Amino acid sequence: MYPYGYPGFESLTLRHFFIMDSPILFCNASLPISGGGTLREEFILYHLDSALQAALINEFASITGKELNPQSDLHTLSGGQKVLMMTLLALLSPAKSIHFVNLWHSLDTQNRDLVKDLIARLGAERRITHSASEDDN
Amino acid sequence: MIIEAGIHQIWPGFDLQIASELHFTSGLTHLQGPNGVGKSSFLTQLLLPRLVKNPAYYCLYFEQQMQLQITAVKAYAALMKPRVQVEGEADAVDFLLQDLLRSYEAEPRPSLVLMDESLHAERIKAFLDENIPDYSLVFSSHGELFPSARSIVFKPLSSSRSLVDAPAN
Repeated sequence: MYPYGYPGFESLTLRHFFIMDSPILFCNASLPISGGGTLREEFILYHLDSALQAALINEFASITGKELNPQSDLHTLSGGQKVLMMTLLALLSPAKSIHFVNLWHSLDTQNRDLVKDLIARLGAERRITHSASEDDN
Repeated sequence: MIIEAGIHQIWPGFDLQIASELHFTSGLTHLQGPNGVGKSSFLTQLLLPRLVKNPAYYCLYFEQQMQLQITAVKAYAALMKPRVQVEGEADAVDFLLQDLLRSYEAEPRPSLVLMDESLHAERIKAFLDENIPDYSLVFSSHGELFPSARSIVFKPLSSSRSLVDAPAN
């Protein structure tokens, strides 16, 4: 997490350069679906190629039992399932740094453990941070 | 407000089997169950439409993932008198609560508040306790928010049906 005031970067301009040099994917569980609603739009936004798209669909089906395709309307998912989808999209995206906001709130106990496993398995090479509210960013 | 026992279709291919008649008169009701079992659908497809049609109640609904609701509240608050600028989620919650209070003070009615895994649950309940004498709060949460709440438990029976039961508390 990057609270305001990075060590040595007191200037706002330098702070911006620091962020630009190390982009962070922000994933807010209050708005888990970023596009117009179809899975295809999320694939484009998160920059997933066809192999990663297939991996995501398989992973999501193994967790929830729901068989999706790129045309699927994600608004038919439950709130917790949308958060699971957002997490998978982020972890399969090329982002090197991911910041999750309120990730755990909408997840039941079983899915919290599952998401922790996913982060350990798919996020090992990345910088992954969390905060409980947008104000903490 | 009553939801009858029986099978209620929610979406094509998904229904809720309600084991016994459910009453929402006063106090706290906790909707419990795992992700994807139909708690939000129960609120939006069964309870909310009945409330909207019933002028005997005031109804306030806090969506689970509020970002789109915030957009709507921002627009409403900016247009309607007294015009108010709503910045974020906490502002939107406050605006909706104050709006309920204004209506209640003008003409008291039983108030039913639906809260779907809100990040502001404690604050909403504290406001209701202080300002609205006869309210009923129906909320979903994965934690034990308010121990005095009676429970309605959702259990998946299959991918197309969940059982909704209110055990004796």
